[in-house]
Amino acid sequence: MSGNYSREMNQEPVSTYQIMVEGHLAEAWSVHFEGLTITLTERGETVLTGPIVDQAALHGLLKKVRDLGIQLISVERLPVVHNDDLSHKG
Amino acid sequence: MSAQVLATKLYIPKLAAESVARPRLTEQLNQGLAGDLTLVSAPAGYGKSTLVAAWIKEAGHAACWLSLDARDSDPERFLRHFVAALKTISTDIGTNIVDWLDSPQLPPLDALITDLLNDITTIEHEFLFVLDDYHTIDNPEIDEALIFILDNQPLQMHLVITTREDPSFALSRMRARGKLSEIRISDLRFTETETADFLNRTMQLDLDSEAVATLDSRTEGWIVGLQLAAISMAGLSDKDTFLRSFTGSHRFILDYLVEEVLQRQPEAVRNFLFQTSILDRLNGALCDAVTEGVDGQSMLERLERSNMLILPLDEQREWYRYHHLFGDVLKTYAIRQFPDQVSHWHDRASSWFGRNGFRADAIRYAFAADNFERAASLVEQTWPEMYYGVRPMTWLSWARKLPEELVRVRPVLSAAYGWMLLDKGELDEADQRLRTVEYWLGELSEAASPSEVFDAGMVVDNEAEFDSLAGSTASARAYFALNTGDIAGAISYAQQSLELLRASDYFWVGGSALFLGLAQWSTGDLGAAYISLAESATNQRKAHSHYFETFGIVMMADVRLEQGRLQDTHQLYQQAQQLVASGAERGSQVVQGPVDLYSGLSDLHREWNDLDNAARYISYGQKVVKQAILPGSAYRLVCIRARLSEALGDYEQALAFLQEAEAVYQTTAVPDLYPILALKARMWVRGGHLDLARNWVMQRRLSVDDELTFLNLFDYATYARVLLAEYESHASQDDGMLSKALALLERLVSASEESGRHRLGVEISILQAHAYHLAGEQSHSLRALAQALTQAEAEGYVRVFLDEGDTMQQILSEAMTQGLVSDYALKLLTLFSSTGADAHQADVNQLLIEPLSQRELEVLHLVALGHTNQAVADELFIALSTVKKHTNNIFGKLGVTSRTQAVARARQLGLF
Repeated sequence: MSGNYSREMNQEPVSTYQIMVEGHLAEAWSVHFEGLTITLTERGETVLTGPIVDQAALHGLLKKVRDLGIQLISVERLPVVHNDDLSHKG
Repeated sequence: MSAQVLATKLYIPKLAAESVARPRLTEQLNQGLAGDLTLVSAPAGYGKSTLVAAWIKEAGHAACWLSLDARDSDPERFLRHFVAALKTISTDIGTNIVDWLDSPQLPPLDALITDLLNDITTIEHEFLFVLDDYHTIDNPEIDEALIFILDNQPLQMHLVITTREDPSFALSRMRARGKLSEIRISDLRFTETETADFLNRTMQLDLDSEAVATLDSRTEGWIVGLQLAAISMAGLSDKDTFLRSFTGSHRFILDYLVEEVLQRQPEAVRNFLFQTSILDRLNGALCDAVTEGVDGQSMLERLERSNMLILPLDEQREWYRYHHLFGDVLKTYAIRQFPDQVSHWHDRASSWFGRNGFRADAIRYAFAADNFERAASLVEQTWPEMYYGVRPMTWLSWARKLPEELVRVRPVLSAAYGWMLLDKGELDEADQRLRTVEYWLGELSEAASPSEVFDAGMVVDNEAEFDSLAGSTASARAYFALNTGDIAGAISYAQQSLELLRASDYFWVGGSALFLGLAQWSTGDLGAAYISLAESATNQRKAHSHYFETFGIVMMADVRLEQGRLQDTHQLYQQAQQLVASGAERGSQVVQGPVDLYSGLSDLHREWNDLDNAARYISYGQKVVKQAILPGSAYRLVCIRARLSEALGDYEQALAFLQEAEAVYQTTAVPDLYPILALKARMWVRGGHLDLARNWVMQRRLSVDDELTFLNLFDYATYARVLLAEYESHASQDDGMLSKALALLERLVSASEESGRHRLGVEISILQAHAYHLAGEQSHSLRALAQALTQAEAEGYVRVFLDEGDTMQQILSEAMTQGLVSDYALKLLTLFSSTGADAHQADVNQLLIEPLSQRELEVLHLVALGHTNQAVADELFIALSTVKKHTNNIFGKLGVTSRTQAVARARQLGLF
């Protein structure tokens, strides 16, 4: 085996999720939330948007939301896009 | 090292001098003591831990505390700290368990916990057990362990759990039965009065009621928000401006306030906060190392004085941690602001932990710093302590994270890796790793794969192990050879290794002696094998490796068993058991140690016709078999279980077990002296399936003239058995068959004698007596019987006679009438007449593989009276879930699937 981590990523289509939380998050959190895009709404919410490889990753993110005491408003899966359209993250 | 207990995790948080009194909640908590569990479940920052700590202090409850973190999802680490926490209540608790946590084989959690719960019942006062931050646990095994604790909680103990998410227990059922007391977010939010008390008294801000109301509504009573707001406002003359912009902002409160707080700090403090935010626990020296500063300790004290969300973790104020939320925010900002420096901080932390003996932390931070060089060096240095310190899985997870080119240039690390892979049965990769080691040792002219170029030189950070590396690698090769069935290779490598090693390399010498002994055993040199195994056990004792010492002794016992020396075998097993128990009281449910110990004990007691104990040891073995680290244990256990069914006359069940054994069969280093197919043929003969037995003979192409070897004796003894059965069946009263059997048995007698397999020799003599009996040659039959009796008497064999059934009884009676004088034969005859169908009826519960517990009998009794589960629960004052668990256990033990069947089966067994 090789010590380098590599993985076949093309098995399942990756879903894009939108996670809406209460309050405007600072841009600094983008890295903490695995590079999801941070968008702020006028009503004082934050929408985190981006590809999430699988359910485990989604739950990991929700755990991070929980651990900051941020109030979760909604989680939504956007229509499927194909993997080729996404830049590969390692 | 993972074996360490962090005292800071057991520390009950200290409260600020003027903390807010919350009588409404402490009253609720006190009332909850009547139930089984108190659950404080709310998001981060609502003062859960503070509330519980305040309650303990205020009410003067005795309590132990365990602050959990993600690494406690490892059951071993969890349990180690769980026991350590209990020890703060009473030092006598869990002593037996801690010893076992050091072994590479973790016993089943519920067995360990049962033992712990028993210990707890000796405590003479009531106490609280607080599990703080339970949400960090991500392991269903631990959830189950806690459910088990709740179901069996001693009256002395009351469990309190704080968590950010509800645990996966059956909470609604507990709620319905009034066993659960809950404090949730709506309870924990500060009321306006509490907010006022906090801001004005605790934080001494002197705010008017309007300001208090504003803050209360903006934070919605979120305590950490209020605390940050208070820190921001401390010393601020214009509080109104602050309040206005705070309330006017849409920003996430934590973001807003942490920034406010940071802005108000001098740069030195701000930088200190950022740099140390990567630490999950801090002390002055560690902070100095990370910040390359000198005032770490005074900085920590200053932060504590200014209420900067930092908590002391001990009375001496040596260790601290940031409030989790505050720490998380700081860390995120730090990564954003100093992206190039964060890895240096991790690296310095790793270095400090390494220098101060916290090796697991050092490794963790080295990986966080992407400093694989350091990580590789540290991981290398844990070798070979990992065999009795670090769990193999933890070690492998570290090794797998290291880049290949770093592993390859390190012979000691590669060797360690190779051993781990050998233990896991991944032989190909193990071989590669060992070749790398051999290349560096100059034993191979080229590297494992030609494409690998070793530009860099060899790296060694563990000189002590490097000094023994040639010897220990030869030992690994012996192990490898044994696993691939290369017995000659195993012997030669083991001997080579023993020449290369120093006498003081106890652990390695012990290992090589073990491999040598097993190989010698396979060749049939039982005398030499015994000496080598004894050598192994002695060296492992000197190496303080109790697990492998026990294993060596069990293997010695197995040799003695095959030599027919049952008494010696028993003595060795007892010695092994003493090691295993290491002082555990008798009847303790902590049952662990090599599975083979229990398989062997069961086999031995079965031979002595002590079937109760034989069954009991099987059930011990079953409890630990899932955790067995050595392959083949499960296989042997099921085979022995089949022999027990045979003794009970249930041949179909015996065959079913053998079927099961076949499914888990794997070749191992331990020689297989009773091959599974021969065992099946034996049961077919017993159960009257002669055609199947005959097929086996044909498929194995057995012939009476074949060469007899140490390893194949049982095959041919069984073949003789098939021939006798064929002769006896009316279909083929063929004298040719009988004479073939007699000739084969004659040769088997001398072969078993020569090979030293005297245990099998007894059986062969018995078969011979049987054969001569059939041939009508009474004097020969008698002589063979006398031979068997002589060999068997001193050692106490019983089953080998009884299993032969009516014919044996007949032969024995005839022998008595012919003038054979033997108390032993008389005793056997008595046993024959008492082994009728009903002989065991009285003691039948003991004969179930797993006897029903007292509680299960009670439950079964009520079920028989027609009670519903709920009615049983009410009658016995136990939870419905517990009743269901009991009934499931009862079904399993009785081998039934419904309540009606269970009652019928129990009646049939005479249980009531």
